[in-house]
Amino acid sequence: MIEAKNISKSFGKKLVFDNADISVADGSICGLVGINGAGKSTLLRIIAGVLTADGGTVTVDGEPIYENKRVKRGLMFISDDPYFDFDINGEKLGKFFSVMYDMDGKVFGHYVEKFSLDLKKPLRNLSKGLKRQIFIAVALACRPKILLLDEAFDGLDPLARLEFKRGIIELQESGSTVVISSHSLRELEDICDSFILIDRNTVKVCGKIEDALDNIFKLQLVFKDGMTKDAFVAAMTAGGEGVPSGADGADAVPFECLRFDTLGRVVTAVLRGDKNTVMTKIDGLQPIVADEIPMDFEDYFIEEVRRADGEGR
Amino acid sequence: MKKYFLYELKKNAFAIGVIAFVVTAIYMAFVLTTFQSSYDINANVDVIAFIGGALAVCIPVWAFAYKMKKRSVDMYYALPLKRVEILAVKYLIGLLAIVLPFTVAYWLGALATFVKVSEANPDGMGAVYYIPYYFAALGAMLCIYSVSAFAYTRANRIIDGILFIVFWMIALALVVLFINRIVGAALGYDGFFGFVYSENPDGYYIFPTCFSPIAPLDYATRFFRAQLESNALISSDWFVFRNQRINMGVGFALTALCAVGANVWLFLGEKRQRAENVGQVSESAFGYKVMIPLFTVCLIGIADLIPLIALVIVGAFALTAVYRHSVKIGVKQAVVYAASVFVGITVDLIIRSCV
Repeated sequence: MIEAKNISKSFGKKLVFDNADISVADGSICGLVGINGAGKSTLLRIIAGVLTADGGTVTVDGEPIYENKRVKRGLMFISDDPYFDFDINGEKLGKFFSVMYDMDGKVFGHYVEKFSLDLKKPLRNLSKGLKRQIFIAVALACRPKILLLDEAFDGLDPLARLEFKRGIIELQESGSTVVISSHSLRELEDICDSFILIDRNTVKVCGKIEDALDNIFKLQLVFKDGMTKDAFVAAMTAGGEGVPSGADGADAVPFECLRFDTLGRVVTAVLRGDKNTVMTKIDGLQPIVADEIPMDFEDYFIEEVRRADGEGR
Repeated sequence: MKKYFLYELKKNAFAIGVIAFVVTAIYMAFVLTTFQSSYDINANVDVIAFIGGALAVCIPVWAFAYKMKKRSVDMYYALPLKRVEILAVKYLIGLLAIVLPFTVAYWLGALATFVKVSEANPDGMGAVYYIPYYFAALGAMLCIYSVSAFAYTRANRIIDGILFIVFWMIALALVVLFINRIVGAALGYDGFFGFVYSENPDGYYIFPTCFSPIAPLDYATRFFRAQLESNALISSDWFVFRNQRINMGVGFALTALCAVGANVWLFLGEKRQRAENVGQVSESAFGYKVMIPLFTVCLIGIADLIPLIALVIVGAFALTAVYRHSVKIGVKQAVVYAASVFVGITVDLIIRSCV
């Protein structure tokens, strides 16, 4: 299990993390998400033992990572722009990593074939996507206990993404833990079972994607006379006009209105709370139309970050 | 670590071979074109000493380049190796990249020189001294390499590292020259540290070599050249003079001390090196922070001519701009720069009024 407790990190005067806590369960695929500059790469570099946290602890199975050879033998980090020597090609890269890790040559060969890679060509002459494919092939062949990938889907074509996702799932099935940072949230949603959302110098949410999506939903509502946000919130929380409610808001529904956009009589609302209870309450408002619009991880991310920004973004 | 060392050795074998070829070709070109006669013998040790010194100064730039790029640091520091192990492997590879090419060039050159001299004058050379000189030169080069490696790795960018090496090669000598000028002016005669100026039998030596890490290589070369060549400019007797013994003692002791300190600090301090500093402003106290004010004050104090002083002032600003990665050097740095120039000029004016 990867655990970080109360980690803080600054680069000069710039605070990146302040008392952030994370935990990634063994055998999970965890998506690391956040806006640009949120600190995703920094967090991965701390977990990889490249950087030290200014405060707090980062451990794998209870052992600190920094300068810990034993732990790092089972940990592999592929950065967003992985380094390679000027004259290195895929074959030499494979050899280098086989010196460092217990690399499975057959698995490497399998992915080289899947990605149709030319191992003789110098990496410097390859496109960004092909370079990444070679690093992915190496990473999957090394079968690390913990694989940390920064901007993992960057530059990959749809077919390569598919193979890559399959590879990650296979790795997970063999017991490995994978932490992937990416802005391709739909790709992450496909393979991740948990996520860490970093925002405003801290870990804002850390949990299962399923749970997060269960509690948040988007509705399209049409009211006969239109509806303002204040009126809607008042009706839902303390009993509004025409809404069956107790005098002291006894029927109030515990919910959070994350977004409330109106266009004429049409309302698009993103709400968080128990869906059934909220829907029953909304029915009491007698909307002409009340449709649920499917919400994915990207919508969830946008709503969370927007909420934090106070609609400023 | 052993596996990693062998990997690096194999990976760099070709590069080391190329260095050996180039170095040998350069040296052999000198050796084969040097005129030798029965009364004019040249052991060609100056050239190989220069080549060896140059290798010891330049190789750290190549060997420790991995510490200067964020991308490579991300990769290396995430590997299942301790940082000090990576450093040790790179250090050893760097050392091999000096020793192997030097050895090949040295012995081929020595052999060719011996054959050429023997044709002109069979008894003209003390060729046996090529053996002790080889080991003396290697030891001296190791010292230069240690100091260069330390200076280079204090930096966060390659250009800073190269400048730090240059600083470290001349810093102490510069300070000595500066103090020498002040004390000399105050006491009314030039050359308070008389021994500093008496290195060259032909006249005053402008640079006090004994206060530089190149001192042991310089002295070993001069000493063994005198033994190798019967007609050497400096005879063996020269080394028994008291001043030369002091110079050599200071040179060897200081360099050995610097080399040991540099190696200890290099390896013990490795764990504390912060990866996030890579590519950023080099703030080490062993670099610009101290060196720019020090060089500004000393060079203004030493420079006699106004145009030279102007050049130092401009140069100091240029260095500050390199240090800060911008010509907008910031208020703090501007104050340090102005103060250094002011102190330098004040000292220079005082010295001028005394002389």
